[in-house]
Amino acid sequence: MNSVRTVNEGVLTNRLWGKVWILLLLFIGVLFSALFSVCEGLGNSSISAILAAALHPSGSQLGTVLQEVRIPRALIGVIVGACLGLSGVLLQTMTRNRLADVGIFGLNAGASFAVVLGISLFGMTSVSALTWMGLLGSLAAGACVYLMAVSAPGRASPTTITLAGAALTMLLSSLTHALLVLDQPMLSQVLFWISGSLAGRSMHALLVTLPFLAAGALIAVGMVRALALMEFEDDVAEGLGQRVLWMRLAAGLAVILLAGGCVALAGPVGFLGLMTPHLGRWLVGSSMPWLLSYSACLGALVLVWADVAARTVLQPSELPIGVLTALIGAPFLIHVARRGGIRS
Amino acid sequence: MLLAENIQVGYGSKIVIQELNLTIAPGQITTFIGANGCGKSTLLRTLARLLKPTAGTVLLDGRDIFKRSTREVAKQLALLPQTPYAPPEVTVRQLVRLGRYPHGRWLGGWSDRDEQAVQEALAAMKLTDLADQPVDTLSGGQRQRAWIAMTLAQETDLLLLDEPTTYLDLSHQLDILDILRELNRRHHKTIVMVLHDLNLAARYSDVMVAVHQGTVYTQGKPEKVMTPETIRAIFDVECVVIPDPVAGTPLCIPIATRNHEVGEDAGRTQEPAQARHALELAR
Repeated sequence: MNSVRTVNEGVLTNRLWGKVWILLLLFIGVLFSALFSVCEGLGNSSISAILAAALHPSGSQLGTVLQEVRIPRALIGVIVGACLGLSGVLLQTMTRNRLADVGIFGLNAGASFAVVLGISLFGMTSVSALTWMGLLGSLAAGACVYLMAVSAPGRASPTTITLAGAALTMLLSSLTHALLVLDQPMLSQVLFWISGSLAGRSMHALLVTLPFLAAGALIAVGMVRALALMEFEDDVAEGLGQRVLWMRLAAGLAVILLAGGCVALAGPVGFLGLMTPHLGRWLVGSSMPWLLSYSACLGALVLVWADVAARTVLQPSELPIGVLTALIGAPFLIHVARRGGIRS
Repeated sequence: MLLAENIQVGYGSKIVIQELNLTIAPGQITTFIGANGCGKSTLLRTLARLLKPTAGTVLLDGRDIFKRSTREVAKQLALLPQTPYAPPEVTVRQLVRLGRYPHGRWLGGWSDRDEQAVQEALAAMKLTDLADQPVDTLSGGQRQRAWIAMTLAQETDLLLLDEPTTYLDLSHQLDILDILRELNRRHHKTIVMVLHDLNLAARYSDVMVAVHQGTVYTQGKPEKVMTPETIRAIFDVECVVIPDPVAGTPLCIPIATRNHEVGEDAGRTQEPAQARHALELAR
């Protein structure tokens, strides 16, 4: 497909290769960062010793640490970051609101509520059980928002979706707070999860959420062409032959699967889904296949480094990763707002 | 061939159009005129299958437009909504490429045919040099040409436009209307549009359709539609109609709305009879 474009667009030839190279660099950067995240702080072990221990983990303490802690953590960081990057692009495009973050669908609030409910009502403690609760909570909240928006007149317009999401978020977070106030000892147990963290997440939790994340990513890739039209008004999109309502449902489903899986895995990681689409647009503009791949790579990159920082800055204690992404994200949000990245 | 068959259209419980029949003449420029809220934009959107009538139907080549795939319809009928919005980074070329959407395949292959259609549309709208500019940095007239280029890339026989000259200055209004006339005369496109400027509508249309209270009040050649009686009925405005000294088409000179014949404007606006007399003398 691109060969035809480059022949006809002399100027774009260079830029096209520029985009390819930078994407490749980003991808290598992600791999390198993940490797760094695995190896960082393992004392004086050499790279070759780490590699040997990773390949043959049997017995050695280093091998166990790598297999049980470091590799899952880096892998989850990459996957969650990439998925949040993807869902951020999808969400900002489908709601035509460049300040939309994945929290907007009520997904984070839903997951938090379900996790708190799981701990307080059912006495759940294992990470994988809580992952399931988070997943169910976020999917249910996303479905609720969608049903509310679709049942309102106006074909689930971006405004209705945003309003329904905001309403549900407020309702669920006040219920969550109520549960926490009634059960103070639980607070310390939940607090870390509620701020978002990659600590203590097992490979099992990743395997539980992976099918949902993969389904969401597949939908996103499958609707690359349709996405290019979704930032335009419904009349324009429909005039060009798009089935607007169906496409919005599909994009919403992808967002719910992607972001819901992420919040179940790592808790609510703020700002990442907001930030990476903007970084991506700054690099490659709004051309969809590029923006999606750039945003995914940038999300993975930022999250892996935020995680490294989260566990090293205040050693031996660990910061929630959500705090770090918020520290980077909040000034960024103000910058975007000042540049006029919102559309009424 | 596009026609509306006894349609009734509404938003919720509010009925905007009722018992409306209309046949769009192929190969002609048809313009809807009428007062604010009379239903002319609603009619255009219904013809473009964006609104589904509660009764009656719209037929495109004899087939119900609402039972066909919207992509198939988009290969025959293009729509330009009123002052559409383009996201900030979108360039002219990207916008025009969207016109190929209904012709494309699922994952977005790009054929020589697609590229040729885009180049032709850019050239026809004299936008080749501006192709890599973001649409929102263009002037109003250029921006409107970019949107028209998008509909050209769609390669349809029918082009529907909702107030294509709104917010443009006089020279750009004429520019856009000249472009539409050329598309009609040279490329044999059937054009249907909503216009507010009666005199430009009369000058550029083959057929005028006066819409009043959700139905067609009268339709036909501009000479037949632009009469003081019709203007009075649909706008509640007294006017005289004289031949346009340049184009020879009817030219409407408003005198006053009937509600404000006397009042604070009475000092400036002459009484209708007096004014009409003055004009007859002038002729």
